[in-house]
Amino acid sequence: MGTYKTGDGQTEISLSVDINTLGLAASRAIVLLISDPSSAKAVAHSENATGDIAKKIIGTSNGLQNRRLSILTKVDLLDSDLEQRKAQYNNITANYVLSGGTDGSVTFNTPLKSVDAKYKTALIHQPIDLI
Amino acid sequence: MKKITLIFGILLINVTLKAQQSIKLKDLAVPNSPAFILTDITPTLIQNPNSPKKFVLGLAQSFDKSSSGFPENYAAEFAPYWLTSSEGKNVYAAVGLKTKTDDDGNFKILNKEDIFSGLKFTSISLGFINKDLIPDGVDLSQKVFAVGARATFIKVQQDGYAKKMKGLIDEWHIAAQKDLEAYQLAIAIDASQENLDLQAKKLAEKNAQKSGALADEIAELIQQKPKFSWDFAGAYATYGIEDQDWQTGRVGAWTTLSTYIPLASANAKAIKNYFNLNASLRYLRDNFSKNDLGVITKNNNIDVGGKAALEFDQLSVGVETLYRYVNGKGNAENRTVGVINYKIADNIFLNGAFGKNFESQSKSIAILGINWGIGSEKANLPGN
Repeated sequence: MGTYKTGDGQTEISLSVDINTLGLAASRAIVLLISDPSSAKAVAHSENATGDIAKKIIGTSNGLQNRRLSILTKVDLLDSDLEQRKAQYNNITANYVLSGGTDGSVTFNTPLKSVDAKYKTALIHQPIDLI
Repeated sequence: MKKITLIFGILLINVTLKAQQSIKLKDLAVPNSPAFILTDITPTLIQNPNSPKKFVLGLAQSFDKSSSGFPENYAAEFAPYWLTSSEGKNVYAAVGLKTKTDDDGNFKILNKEDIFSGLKFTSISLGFINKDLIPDGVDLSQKVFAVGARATFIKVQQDGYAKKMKGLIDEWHIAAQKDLEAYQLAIAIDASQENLDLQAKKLAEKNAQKSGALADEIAELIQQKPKFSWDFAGAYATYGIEDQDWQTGRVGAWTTLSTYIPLASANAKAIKNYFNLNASLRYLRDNFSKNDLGVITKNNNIDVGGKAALEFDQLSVGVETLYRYVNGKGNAENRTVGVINYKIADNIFLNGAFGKNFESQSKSIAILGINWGIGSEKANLPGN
């Protein structure tokens, strides 16, 4: 879990996501109040199967403070060989950059990863608490 | 009982007649692991490291086991592209589609294929073995180091491949966004590894529906045979003779040109029937070969072969021709034969070859046999 200081002004906070994989990838980012899951709102998503999200404003410091930013990526690995898929899963990396807040530009690159038993579908999750 | 006798009879014919043939067209096709073919390294020795760490570890272990400073038998095959980090890689490069990043940093996928995309998957094979490859009557192993590479230089996919592939990937991306929408809230609220594992399992079970089916279709399209391909391989083996003296032992080079003309509409979901034409050229040099007089000498073989075949899902029927030149002269193994392969069931194939040798019109080739294979591959003619 990462944390990022947004500050409390009207400054715009931006997010960019860079997913590195040879598989099919799709990413989506939401913000929510943990105490009120119905507040969840999608703020960005990938435009193609690279899974990348080009730098995008996701809200203002005031609007994002005390919320959780969740960036989830689904990856489908295509190789027909199980060992190759295992290697490809292990090689998946991701970089998430937040900027515009009190913390300035910060890169997060240690997401949680999980994959099914056949190593065909993986989920990559980076949660960041905005404080 | 009659059936059993017949089967044994067929197998006996197969074994007897196969022994008369030392080269086959499939031997001419570009091999996946040229270094191993060159030095007859057995598959049981071969490792397929899927990370640089495993490769280095395997090599280090084989050095450790050795008392001579030369690794004990070790052979590995790998494609560096798959071993290295995924940094900067994406699925479009993997499936051979062209992409472009404009001056503003916008990433664009073009409806065009990259015909050189196969080059990045170039594989390396290397082996350290202790083996007697010099037929001099002295039973003494040499230290043999062999290295080889295999590459697809040009691969032109079937008509409409790029458009079809891009369309499927776009569809997959839309379906995957819906998957994310369905699971993300639960993952965001409980952001633990345990919950992510649980949700990943649930997603995988549900995945067979839309995005999973599309991913399978994309994987199937990747496996489709190309309209044209040009493959190369090369290998070199050096022998350590009496510990200090290292000499070139064998050198090999292979190239194959192939074309697969689909026997179905380009709009078909997956093409499985083709008219296949291919031509192969192989050069082999053995600096320690025994000639007819029993003298160790240098030997240069050039083999040329080709095939035309109709390939269906279960059945392949074709004709293949093969010429061998030993030190520039024609050879008795030159021949043209008809070949038939039929997949009786998973892992059971009926193979037949019928024809005549060139050298003597009276020398016929007739092979009919059943192969029990491992795996569930389609019945293909040799050379695919």
